[in-house]
Amino acid sequence: MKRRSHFFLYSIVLFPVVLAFYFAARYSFGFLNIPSIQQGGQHWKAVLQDGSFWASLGFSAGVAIASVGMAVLLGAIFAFISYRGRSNEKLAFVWYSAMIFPPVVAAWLGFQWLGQSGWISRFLFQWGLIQGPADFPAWVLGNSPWALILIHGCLITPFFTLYFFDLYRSLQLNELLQMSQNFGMSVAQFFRYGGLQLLGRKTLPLMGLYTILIMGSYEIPLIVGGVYPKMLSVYIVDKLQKFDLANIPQAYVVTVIYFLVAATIILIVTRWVRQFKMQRL
Amino acid sequence: MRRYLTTVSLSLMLLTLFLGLCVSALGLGLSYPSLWPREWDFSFLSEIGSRGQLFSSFASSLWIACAVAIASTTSAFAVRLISFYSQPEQRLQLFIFYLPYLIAPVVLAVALQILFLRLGWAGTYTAIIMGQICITLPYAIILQDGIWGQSLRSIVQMGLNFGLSSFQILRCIIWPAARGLLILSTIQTFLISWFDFALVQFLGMGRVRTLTLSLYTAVLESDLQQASFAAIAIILPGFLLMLLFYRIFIQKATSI
Repeated sequence: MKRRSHFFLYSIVLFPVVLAFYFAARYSFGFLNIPSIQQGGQHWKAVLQDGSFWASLGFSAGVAIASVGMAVLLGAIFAFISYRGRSNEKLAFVWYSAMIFPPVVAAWLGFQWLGQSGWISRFLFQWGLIQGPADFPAWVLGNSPWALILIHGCLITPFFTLYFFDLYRSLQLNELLQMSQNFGMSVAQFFRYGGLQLLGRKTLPLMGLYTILIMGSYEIPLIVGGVYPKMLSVYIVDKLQKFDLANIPQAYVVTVIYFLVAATIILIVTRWVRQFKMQRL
Repeated sequence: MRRYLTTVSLSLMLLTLFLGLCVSALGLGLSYPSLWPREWDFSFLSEIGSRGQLFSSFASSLWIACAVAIASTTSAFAVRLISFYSQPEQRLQLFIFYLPYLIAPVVLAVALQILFLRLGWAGTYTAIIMGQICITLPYAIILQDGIWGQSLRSIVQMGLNFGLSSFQILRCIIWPAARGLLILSTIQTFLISWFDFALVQFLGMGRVRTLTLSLYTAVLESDLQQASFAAIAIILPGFLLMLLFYRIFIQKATSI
């Protein structure tokens, strides 16, 4: 009875995912019922030998890690600046209301503000700092990752700020800091000899999850991103819908690879969650 | 004073972003160096009145999101109720429930598309709602973790000992314990569905237009006005729901 009810709980969630994975894996070997597409493992070989695939994988990972790093850093600092133990609901509300921007809107706002003819560029022009839109760096629709990192980072910074507020309270950071100062440590020394480990251990699982979330981000690179390298989701969609029918199995190959990578990272992260839960603090 | 610094600057930033959206939604003649529009254009009011494009995509977005929120919350509740006595192993449960939520929506959509094409659902509301439920159901189940603990199990056991019927257990024990988190889970799943783009694009096959999709097409057509309108239409209900959510839960639980 007990086993079976477990099974029910899991299977209802896993069923569509497993089915989807099965179809994707099948199609990645060319079983598509399209006569011109050969069946077999050559699509895997083609993807793995393709430099643009590795470029987009590395690019996605780089953007994800950089933007999560930015968000964690900013969130920790913002929370540290305004954290003083007492409660004020209105402050928290502003941070909560910063989380209502979905990726599509964030991409559009990034387009509007960071573009070469965007608001920032216009302000700089009015102040006489640049001579025209060409002087503004081509972050949006260019091949540099800065716009992507900035937009993703800003998108998740409010979440990490709220998380760190909570974390500081539950770790009683103020009291710990007070105590370490009583023993003659500076703030920097406190963070160097223990504070960072303490915070990092609690934050690392969340950082892992957000890294995968951003690696698979779609709307923002679609609207803001450049031509090469692409982020993984856009790469998959391009292989699927553009240029060449014979590339369709390759799209599914990348899908399967991403599936496996994400599943591995989630597995590691859930292990961390458990390990860190067992250690005290 | 210092603790207000970040918050005040953040609220200024949010207001600036919103103002920028409003200006580009209502202004005409925003060519390059100008910061302020030549004239204002309020023709959108008549468009909303005459049930234009934006109105219909707003309606379909709303209908999809409501269906997804209610279906996934109630079915998560039902699933937890059915497997009431099971105590899932923590790590396996986390892994399985994070999987659909964290795998990129595009990846899930691309893979589900084949399935729905075979079922003949592609391009219908059913496909979009089912696809979004694949993401929101595990999320709702995880969110309801707070209800279904050991303490509830023992209270239910006690009720059984005192001879309550199963309806009475549901009404007098489980419902009061679950009510708050059920509202929270409805709001959250509504927002996930409201903000979703990839699943709508792939499973809707261009036949279903939601707000996020019409924002994207407006950007593709470089129709800045329409895009800003769509963005405002996406943000405002989200803001209202966040207000409600905050009023109900956060104010009591966590505050800065």
